[in-house]
Amino acid sequence: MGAMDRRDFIKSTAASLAVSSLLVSCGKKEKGEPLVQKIGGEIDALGIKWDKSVCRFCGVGCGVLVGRKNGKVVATKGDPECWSNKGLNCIKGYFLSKILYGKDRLTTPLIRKNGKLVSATWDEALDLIAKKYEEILKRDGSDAVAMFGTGQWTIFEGYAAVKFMKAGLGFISKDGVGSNNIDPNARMCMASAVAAFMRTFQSDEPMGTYEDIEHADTFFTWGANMAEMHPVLFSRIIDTKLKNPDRVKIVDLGTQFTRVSEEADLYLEFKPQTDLAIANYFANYIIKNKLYDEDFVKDNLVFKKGETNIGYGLKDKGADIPKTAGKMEKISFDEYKKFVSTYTAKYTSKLSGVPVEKLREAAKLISDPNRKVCSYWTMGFNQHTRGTWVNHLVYNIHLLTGKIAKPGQGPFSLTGQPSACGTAREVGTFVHRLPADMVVKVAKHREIAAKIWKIPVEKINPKVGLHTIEMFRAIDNGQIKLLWTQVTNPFHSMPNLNRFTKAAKERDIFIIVSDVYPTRSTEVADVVLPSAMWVEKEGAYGNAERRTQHWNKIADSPGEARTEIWQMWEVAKRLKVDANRTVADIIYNYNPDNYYEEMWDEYRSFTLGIGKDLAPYNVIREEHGVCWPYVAKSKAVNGKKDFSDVWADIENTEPNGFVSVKWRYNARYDPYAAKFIKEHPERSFKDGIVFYKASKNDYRATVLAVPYEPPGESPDNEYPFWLCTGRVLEHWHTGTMTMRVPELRRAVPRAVVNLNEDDARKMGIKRGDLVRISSRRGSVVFPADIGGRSVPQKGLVFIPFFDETRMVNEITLDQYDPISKEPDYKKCAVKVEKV
Amino acid sequence: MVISSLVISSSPTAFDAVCDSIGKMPKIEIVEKQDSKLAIVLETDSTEEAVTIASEIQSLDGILNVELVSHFFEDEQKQEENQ
Repeated sequence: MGAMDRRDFIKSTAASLAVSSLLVSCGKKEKGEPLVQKIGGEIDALGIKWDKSVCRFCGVGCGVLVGRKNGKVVATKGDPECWSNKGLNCIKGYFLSKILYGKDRLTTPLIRKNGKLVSATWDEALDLIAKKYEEILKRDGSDAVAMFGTGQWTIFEGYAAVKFMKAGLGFISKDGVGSNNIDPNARMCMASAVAAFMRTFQSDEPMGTYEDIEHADTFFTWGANMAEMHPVLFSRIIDTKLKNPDRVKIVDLGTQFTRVSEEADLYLEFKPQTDLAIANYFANYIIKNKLYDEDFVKDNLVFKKGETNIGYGLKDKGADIPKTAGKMEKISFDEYKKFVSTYTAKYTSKLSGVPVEKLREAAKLISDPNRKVCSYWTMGFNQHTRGTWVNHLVYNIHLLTGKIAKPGQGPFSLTGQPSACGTAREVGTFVHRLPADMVVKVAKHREIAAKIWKIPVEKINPKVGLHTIEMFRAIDNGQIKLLWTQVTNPFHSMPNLNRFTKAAKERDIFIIVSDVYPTRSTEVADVVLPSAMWVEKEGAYGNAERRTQHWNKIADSPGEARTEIWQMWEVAKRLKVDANRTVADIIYNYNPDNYYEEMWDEYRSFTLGIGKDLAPYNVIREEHGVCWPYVAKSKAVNGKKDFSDVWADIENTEPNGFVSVKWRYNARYDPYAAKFIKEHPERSFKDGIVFYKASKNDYRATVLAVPYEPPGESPDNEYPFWLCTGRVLEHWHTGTMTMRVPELRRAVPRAVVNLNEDDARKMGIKRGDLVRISSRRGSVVFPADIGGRSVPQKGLVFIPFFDETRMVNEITLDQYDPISKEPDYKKCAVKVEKV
Repeated sequence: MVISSLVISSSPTAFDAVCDSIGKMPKIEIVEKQDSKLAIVLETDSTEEAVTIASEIQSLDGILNVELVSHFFEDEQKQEENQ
């Protein structure tokens, strides 16, 4: 093909893809043309081989088609066959491939010698790591080692890590049990959502899917700047609004005015932490005006009250947290009614600063029986010292009104990382968990896991490990002697960072960091292992709508970079159990040439027949994302539960006799619900909805009475401002990937502090002035920004955390939600001074 | 040469003005207009230039969203390797 022909060909391809995506987003076409008829192996006229993948950034899970030539990625396009994004990507899509090719990619293992990291061979590095594991496990036992992982691990990697820690180390450790000291950075991201899901429904993850957006007419965004953090989903909301502008309403609740607020019909700016009061006010309004769904309440709900004054995790080992912090006690509907009656419009307005009329207007919209309401939230709720509570309080609203588990109606917890759901939550890479919502402290769950893993049940430690904050505190107090971090950067992202960086440098701790670029964490490492990233290896992610998305290895990794699975496998090979066996023989007894499929089959067996059914390996390889439960009609296919008697009632079944469930708990869409209802003729279920996982509550969801309580630290005379931290559009998390993209580094090279205009004027601060932000933990200097894309409320400053040269986490507070153990990065007290 | 395509959504009231402004911008070809949405193709010297244009579009009055559909950058990839 000549140069001009080639150019024209690319332009016409790009044009037809854009037109097709436009028609899909206008609703004029159901699905874009695939253009790559068969994934894998198809080479187009440009000599580009296309394969499917998933975006590496946020938790939306946009499908991306990746084009490669000569082992390098040379083109990308939104995947029109992926239902999460229907052919569209956000602007970050421009940089997806560039994150692979930063100039300082780690390409050889590094070992610290005489204080300096120097290149080493894989054998040297792995031998050293294995020696340390052996020495520490035999001397101090399994409590002395820890692994800190991520919601960016692929599902396979997370699974291999859980087996390494929870199943493998027990064969070496002096106490004969594995270590539960494995936690993901997802603890800092959505642990509160997990806790509330489990306590409300006894099953993690949302009931609906992104498709709710096209069916809904009322959107509540709670402290979530979806326009910049989940842009593809926000654009679907905008499309819904454009199609029906008079009917569709967006209500934004937040502590700063964002691009979402700009598009909203109603913006409620509330004082930090008073979301608790506002949600309780909505429940009060619903009950007082008899707008609750009486039958739904009778059939499907149970009322409880939670323990109060539960502390803030400010003391080591949770010493300020009562043992009963998570307790819930049954109450009557009338008692609940009485409880919420405190939250009148007047009282809530006084607490929150939101005018009474605005509160009423929002309450009217959320409770209107003729409106289809979806609620969205993410870090604003989850990074909250009462994060579990505030998640509960939004479920309360949707449960009371029966606006749940139906197309266009439901509460939806968004995620920040691409596989927070698929890996961290579903695989269970938490200190208390096992795969498929099981937990280490339940004997039956340990038995199930031990049977699948083919190990003696005694090897699984029943004691819950140290959650993230306590894990890093335990480095400081000497309990943890070895830490392996993978795909994450805790020595940049931990709150109250100075304490933990100092501990890493001064304590007797051996730190292994597996990563792709040098970071603040590699700076404190004893060994650095270069990792393969994203499409340099086969992988799968699970996004926020329960969708499992698989990709093949598409590009080569640079130098000697290897996958984390290979790294753990090699260490396990070096850990000898006896004369004949290594740890690897026990936990990674897979065919080395085809271990992904064997590993998937093994992991999948945890999920079958319990409403968490993952799709088979061949299906996830073929399909462009599959939502679980992925259920077959008959026993012959699924192996555990026969749904043939209810199959005729289920919508959206596929020709192959499967259904990928779009609305869990709803008998029209979910065979588990249909079957449950059929088997329980003695009970009625309003709208065919049953919370069939909630066996401890007679299959009813929990409405929880919990109050407003102040945060762990509030502004005072000495530190008069709120500090809120977060992300910016251009940079993702600690910037380890996006700061390697020259375009993004040039666009937003440094973190700035966002100030409210009135506050800045009072202090004589102008845009660009240097400002010292101090808390009780330390102080950091930032240039001021006033009137930027987001506008903080008076008395609040916002600072993003991506910048490794000015780390806001040196001043944040290591307070956490006593139930979910998730830290609160959104609220602490600071002072602001012009330098 | 970097070629990329985008879908742009604007508020219905601003659509004509948006089309006007985008039509005047260099390196852009509008390939479809419907329901206050535009499909455009950018031909730029670099990804950076494409992103700068996309950001300029994003900052126009009435723009609701700018989304990426496809991105072809083989030439840029080669250039970077040669450097």
